[in-house]
Amino acid sequence: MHTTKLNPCIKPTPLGLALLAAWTTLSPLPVPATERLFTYTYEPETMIQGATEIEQWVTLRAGKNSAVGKDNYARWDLRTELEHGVTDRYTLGLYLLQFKAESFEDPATSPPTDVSEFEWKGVALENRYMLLNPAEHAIGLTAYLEGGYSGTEAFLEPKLILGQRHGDWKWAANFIYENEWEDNLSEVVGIVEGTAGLSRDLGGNWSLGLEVRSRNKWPDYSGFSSSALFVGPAVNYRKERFWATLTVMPQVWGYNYHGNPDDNTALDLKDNERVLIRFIVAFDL
Amino acid sequence: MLWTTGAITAGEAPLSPAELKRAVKLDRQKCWRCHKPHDPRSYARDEWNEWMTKMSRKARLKPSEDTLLRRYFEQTRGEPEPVK
Ligand code: HEC
Repeated sequence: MHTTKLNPCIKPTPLGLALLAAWTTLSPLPVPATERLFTYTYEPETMIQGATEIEQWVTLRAGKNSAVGKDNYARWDLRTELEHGVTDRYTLGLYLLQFKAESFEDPATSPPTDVSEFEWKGVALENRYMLLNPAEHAIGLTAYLEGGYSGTEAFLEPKLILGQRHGDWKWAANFIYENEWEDNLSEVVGIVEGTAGLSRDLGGNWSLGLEVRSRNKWPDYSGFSSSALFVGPAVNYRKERFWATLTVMPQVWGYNYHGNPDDNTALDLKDNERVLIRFIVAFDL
Repeated sequence: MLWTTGAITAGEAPLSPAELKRAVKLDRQKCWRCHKPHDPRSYARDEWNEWMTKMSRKARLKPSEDTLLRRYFEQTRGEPEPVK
């Protein structure tokens, strides 16, 4: 997933969170589509031709430490996305609204300062093209390309999506290479990511599974700076006209390739957080 | 509306080989996209027809596709259950 660098505008406290709460409540509640059993991992099925859905995403990334200058760290990302099945194989997604709110306590000052910041993220476009329909082949395969621009930053994120259903079970795996151009497009960061999920249909409209995400940061293409592995449950509920999915993924392993900037040898808290929580709810239009 | 095509009852003419081929493909391409295949024999006819009305809309079936799939599932209903 795309992330942007911090704006220098640092304001004292919870304004961001208040705005965020207001936005969540006021944002237009639309009225599906091909539901997702995971939140970071896409499945190869694209939308039915002519179907349109609106998705609301909420992601919380929480937990860094004082060694990286961020106590009580929380970052919220909100996204409203419109998806449309252009053909049975090609789905187009438009991120209508995206913003983030970040807050932490800076232990370097005395007394520690509360820092919070709020940032609109630019627009982004997502394209998914199903090369092999899993219903007709041994394995499903979809190509994904997402691109975005916010004035000072840009990103391009290609993915390969694999997956298949076996009775009540379904698995999917994504291979992702994300390029970010930051600081007025002067700095380039690569992120190599792999995600995967396995889920079981429990009946009664519920599915329960496990999702895994491995994230490896590669600044300036000059060797990896950090790696982190997240694992956790994924639960999905679907009805005729909406679906919702929640994952909670703690970081179970992390590594910094250059020294120990986060004073933690078990996890990476410099580029990553202790836990990722993502909730997506979608409505048929 | 497009998707409220009437229910099909028993006694329809059997599908021609070409229709059968199209129906199997349609079932896979549309119905299998969102969930595992459901077997009409596990549902009472009325209940199945109700689901078909809802799912026809979800799958954005054209009226001709809706009719074809309803006939196909009705034909499946007459076939013996697969040995488990
Ligand atoms: C876009 C996704 C989607 C498509 C396409 C789709 N379905 Fe469904 N189907 C669902 C969802 C979601 C439910 C659960 C609805 C509920 O419980 O309210 C469902 C439920 C069902 C059920 C009831 C399962 C039960 O609980 O016993 C049947 C039967 C069914 N679908 C058949 C079909 C058929 C036949 C087609 C093709 C014409 C089809 N579906 C196409 C999403 C889809």
